[in-house]
Amino acid sequence: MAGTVPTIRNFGNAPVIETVLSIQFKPIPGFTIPHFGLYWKVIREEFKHCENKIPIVHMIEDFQRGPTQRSSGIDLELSPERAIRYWFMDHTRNTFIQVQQDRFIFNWQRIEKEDVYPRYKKTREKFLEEWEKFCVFLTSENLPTPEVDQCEVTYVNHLEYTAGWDSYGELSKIVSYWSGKASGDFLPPPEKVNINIRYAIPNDQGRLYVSLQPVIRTRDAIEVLQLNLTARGAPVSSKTEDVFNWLDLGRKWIVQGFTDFTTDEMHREWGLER
Amino acid sequence: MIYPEAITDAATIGARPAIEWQIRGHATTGIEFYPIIQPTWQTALVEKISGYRSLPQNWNSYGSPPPSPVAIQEAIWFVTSMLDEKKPRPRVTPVSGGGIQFEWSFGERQIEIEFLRDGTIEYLLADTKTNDETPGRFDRPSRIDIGRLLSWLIDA
Repeated sequence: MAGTVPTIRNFGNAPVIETVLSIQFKPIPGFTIPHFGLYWKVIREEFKHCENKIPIVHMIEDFQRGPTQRSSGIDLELSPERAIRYWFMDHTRNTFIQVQQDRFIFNWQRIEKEDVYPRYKKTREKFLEEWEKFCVFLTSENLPTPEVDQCEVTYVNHLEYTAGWDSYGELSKIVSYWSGKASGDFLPPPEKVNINIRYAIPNDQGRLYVSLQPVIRTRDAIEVLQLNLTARGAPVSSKTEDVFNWLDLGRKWIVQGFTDFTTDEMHREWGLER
Repeated sequence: MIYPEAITDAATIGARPAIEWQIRGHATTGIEFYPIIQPTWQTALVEKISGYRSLPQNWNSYGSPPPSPVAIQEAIWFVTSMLDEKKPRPRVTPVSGGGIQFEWSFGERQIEIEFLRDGTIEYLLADTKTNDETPGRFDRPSRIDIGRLLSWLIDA
C-alpha cells in the first residue's frame, strides 16, 4: 500500500542531518524549461525559494555489469532542450523539492542543531503528496505519466568527535566491521579513514552503498565523520504503490544497514528503540 | 575505490559551485562539505583554516580575537571554490582583528587577499619594482576574477 509504512526499529537521537527520497524516470517528452515555472506556480505558496543546479546524471543499477551512468536522453546531441535542475525550497530551507526532466526528489536537511528530524513516516507522506501533485500537474499540461526506472533513498549522518569517540584510533567504537587491530605494532593509529562498501539487495532489487569519510562541514568548519547510505533500485512498475514500496525497501536497507554497520555502544548513544 | 554512485541526490545547505564540482552529476543531497582524506594542498589548507576555530583570544599577544566563524567559512569557500591544484598555493595566516589572509608572491609581485571579520573580502596587489600598490574589494569573486589576479602575479 502506498499509504502505509513498515515498522522497523528506529533511533530516537539519530545523527542524521539529511534524508533524500528520489524517483528517476525516463525523460518526459515535451517537458520543457517553461514547465519548471508552471510547476513552481503550483507549489510556490509553500516552496517560495528557487535555485538552479547542475543536473544529476541518470543512474541505473545494472545487474549484468554493475552500476552505470546512462544518457538521460536530454543532452545536446539528442535534444535542443537544455538539461536543468531546480530546487524549490520552503521558507525554512529545511525542506526542498528538486525537479529535472528525469527526476523528482524530496530533501529534508538539518540546518540548525535544534532542527528536529521529522521521521520517515512524515517525510514519506509529504513526498507522496508532492509526487501526486506533480503527476496531476503533468496531466494538466497534457504530458505523459512518468515511466519510473529507479528509486533512491539517501541518509547522510554526521558523527562529531565528541559524541562517543574522539580519534580514528577509536573507530572500532563506531564501526562494527572495524577491529582497529593491526597484525604487528609498527603502524600508529590511523590519522584518517575512508570506507566505501557496496551491498547487493537480494533478487536484483537494488544496491546499498555505504560510505564513511572525514569531511569539513563548510557551514561551521567543523571536522566530522560523514556516513552516507544510499539505496537504489528499480520498482516493480511505475505505479505509485510500487514506487513507494521500493522506497520503503530502500529505507529499510538504510536503517537496518546503519544498525549493522555501527556498534551497540553507538546505538545506545543514538537511542535505538528496543 | 570510491563509488561515485554512492554520492547522491543530497545537497546539504546550498552547495556552491566547487563543492558541487566534487559531486557533480551525482549529488541529490544539499550537504555542503569538503572531504579531507585526499592528498592535495587544498585539503591541507582547509584543515589548517578549520583549525583556526581553536585559536584563543589574544592568540597573537596583541589582544586580537581569533578568526571569526564568518571569515573561516568564507576562507574555506574560497579554497574549495576558487582555487584548484593547477593554481599556485597561497600562504594562509590568521590576521589581527579576526580575519584570514591569503598571500602569493612571485618575483617582485605580491597579492594579498584578506577575509575580514565580517566576511568582507579585500585585496592588495603590490609591485616592489615600481612601488605600485593597488587595493580593491570583492563583493564575491568569481574564478575568472581570481584567475586574472594570479595572471597579473606571474605576468611580470
